[in-house]
Parts: sequence; structure tokens; C-alpha cells
Amino acid sequence: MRLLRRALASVALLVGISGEAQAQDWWWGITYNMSATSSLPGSSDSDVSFVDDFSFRGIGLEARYVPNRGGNLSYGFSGSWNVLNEKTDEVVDLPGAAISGTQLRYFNAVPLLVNAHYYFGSRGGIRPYAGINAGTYWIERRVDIGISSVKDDNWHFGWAPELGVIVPLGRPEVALIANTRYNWAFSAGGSGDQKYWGFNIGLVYR
Amino acid sequence: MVGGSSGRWPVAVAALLAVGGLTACYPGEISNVSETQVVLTTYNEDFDFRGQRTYAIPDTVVEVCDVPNPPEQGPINCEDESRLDYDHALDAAFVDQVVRNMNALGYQRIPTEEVTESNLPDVAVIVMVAVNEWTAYTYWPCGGYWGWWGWYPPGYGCWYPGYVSTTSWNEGTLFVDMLHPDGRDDSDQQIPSVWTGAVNAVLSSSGQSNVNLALSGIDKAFDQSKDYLMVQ
Repeated sequence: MRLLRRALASVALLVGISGEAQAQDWWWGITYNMSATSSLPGSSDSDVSFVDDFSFRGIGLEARYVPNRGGNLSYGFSGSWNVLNEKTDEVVDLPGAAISGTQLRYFNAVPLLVNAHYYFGSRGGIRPYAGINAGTYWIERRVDIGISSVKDDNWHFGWAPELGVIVPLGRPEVALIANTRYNWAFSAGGSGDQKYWGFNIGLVYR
Repeated sequence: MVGGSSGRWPVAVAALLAVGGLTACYPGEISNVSETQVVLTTYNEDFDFRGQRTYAIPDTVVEVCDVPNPPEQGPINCEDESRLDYDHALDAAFVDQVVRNMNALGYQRIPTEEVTESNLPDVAVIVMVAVNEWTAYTYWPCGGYWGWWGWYPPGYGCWYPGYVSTTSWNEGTLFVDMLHPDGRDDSDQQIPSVWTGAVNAVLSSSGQSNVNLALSGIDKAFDQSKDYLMVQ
């Protein structure tokens, strides 16, 4: 039974659902993710202005391993799904041409990252932290115009610096987590750098 | 286990489903057929539009399949089953809309009856239409699905067979083509096109709505080209 639980815990590293007896050294988190591209400074590449709206669609799962309980460091994994979309009528200018019409633009990003974080403050209290994430991003961009649809999707390498805070909620095994990430996926497959901000809030279990 | 972890599984799953339910790959949609309108304009970047002053335009609209292809490309298939009839009673409305836009850009119209070899307009404008019915076929196989013992492939244990669904729609395209007679090549009997505006949309059951969509599309085509079409 313990072997089965450990196997499930290993699987749960990928999906972020709570583990069992070994979880005291592990934090498992689920977050509600919001994101934005060119609406904030830091996103100046032309590819980034593909969708210009703030997004309230996203979910994140992560696991963090704390080698020394109450210590300042953790290492872990995270996976997210961010959806940015926009409906626009703007004219698209091309060399020798222009096209207009109602466009539905979609930006789906799935970052799969490993991370390391450093925590300030002391055990049991509010703990601000800074961290770094690195890994791969699967990003699909799609434009629907008229009855036509054009899309491309690529795997990118990328990284994301992160600032956040963990707030105890009165129970030793549950806490609130809130963070901001600047996601930077490097160019791949003819697609330029993709950058977007992430604003995430959720719960962690330990 | 401190904290009663057995209670966390349903909470975590519920939270996952709740948050995941707010997320969809492609949210949003078009709300009516007018949002299917697409206006495309192309132009010859090397052509001197600013030096043009006069234009001529016939009073009739040409159906695309009535325009002969260059001989090497063979005839256009006007017997295509997807082709729908176009009502030439709409010609005046479309031609007048183009005339209004050309005049607003500063061009002067030469009546077609006054056009001669020695009195050619700087550009000639032609309006063309094509109306087609399209049908999409989608096959929906029965299965597969995850069962207690694993993956069941399509067709296994189905209560019903797979089926094919069809979706049909009418689509119209209106072209406004600007030709440069002085640039014609008599050897192959072709007159170069220097600007083309194409308005495409799904057609609704309302004829007047379709006409309004075409007229607004003509306006958009000229509006997104006025920077270089405007007479100086």
C-alpha cells in the first residue's frame, strides 16, 4: 500500500494532487492564474502584442521540496495553462496588402518548469520569497478571421523569475500562496520570443 | 498523519475542477454573420497611384466565372455545382458605392461611352462577384473511451454506429479591381491590375443584409487603402 502511495505521489508530482505520508517535506499547490502581455511594461516584442487583453483564464499546479523544514530554500516543479484571448477589428498591414475583419485571437501557453526559491521571514510567519523557474513552454497562437483559421504551435525553452509570498492560514498544513512571474519563452520554430506576466493566487498543502 | 490528509483529496480535486472549469482553449465566438466579413486589399507597391487622376467603370457587375482565364490556364468552370446565381439588379448599388469612394479619393470619372483609344482613363475599375455554396462533412466515430480495464478503441462496445454530419453555408465574394490600361501588354492581351479589394462573407437568409454587408465592405476596402490611393 505504501509502495502504491509513493507511486501515486510520483504521478501527483505531475498533476499536483495531494500526496500522503512523505508530504511533510513537500508543498503541493494549486493556483488560479491570470496573465497579461503587452498591457504592462516588459513586453515590447511585436510577437507579444498578438493578444492585447488581460486574461482571467489559467490554472497552475506545482510541487516544492523543502530539504530542511522551516529552511530558506525549496526546489520543485510547476505546470500551468494560461489562455489569453482577444476579439478585435484592427486592420493587419502586410507588405503590399492589408486585411481586416473580426479576428478572434487565442494564445494558449503551457509552461512546464523546474524551480528554486529562497524564502525570507521565519517558519510559521508570512514568508516572502524570490525564485527562478526554467524549462519548456508549449505555446499555440491561433487567429480566426471570417471562416478561416490559422495557427501555429511550438515548444520553446524559457525561464521565469518569480516574486511571491506564502501566508499561513491558521493550520500548519495549509497556506495561501500568491506570486508574480515574468514568463519569457525564447524564439522557436519561426515564432519570436513570447513574453507574458503571470499573476497567480492559490493554496499550498504541506 | 497530522492534519487528516484524507480530507485533502476531494478538496484538491474539487478546486482543480472549479478552476479548470473557468479555462477553455478557445473562448469567445462570432455572434452574427456580419462578423464573418473579411476585407482584403492588395496593391502594386511600385505603381505610382499619386499620378493618376481619371477612371472609368462599367455600369454592370461581372460574375467571376464569366471572366475568361488566360489561354494557358484553361477555361473557368462555370458549371461548378457550388456556384449560385447572382442577381444583376444589385449592380447599380455596388457600382454606385465604388463610384462614391473613387470620387471621394479625388478621381474624376470618364463615362464609358467617352472612352476611346485617344481618351483612355488613367485606371479602369471593374466590379466582380462570385457566390458559392459550401458543404463541410464531419465524421463522428463511436468511441473510444476509457473504461475500467483501460482504453476502448473507436467502434468497440458502441450502442450506435459512427455517423457523418454535414454543414452547408453560402459564401459571397465581391472584387473591385483597378486596372492600368497604359500598362497593357498587347502581345498576351493582358491589362495589369494595380489594386484589388476583395470582400468575403458568409451570406445570411436576408438579401438586404447581404447587400449592406457588401456595401460596407467596399467602404472598408477603400478606407484601408486611402493612404496610397488618394489623389495628390
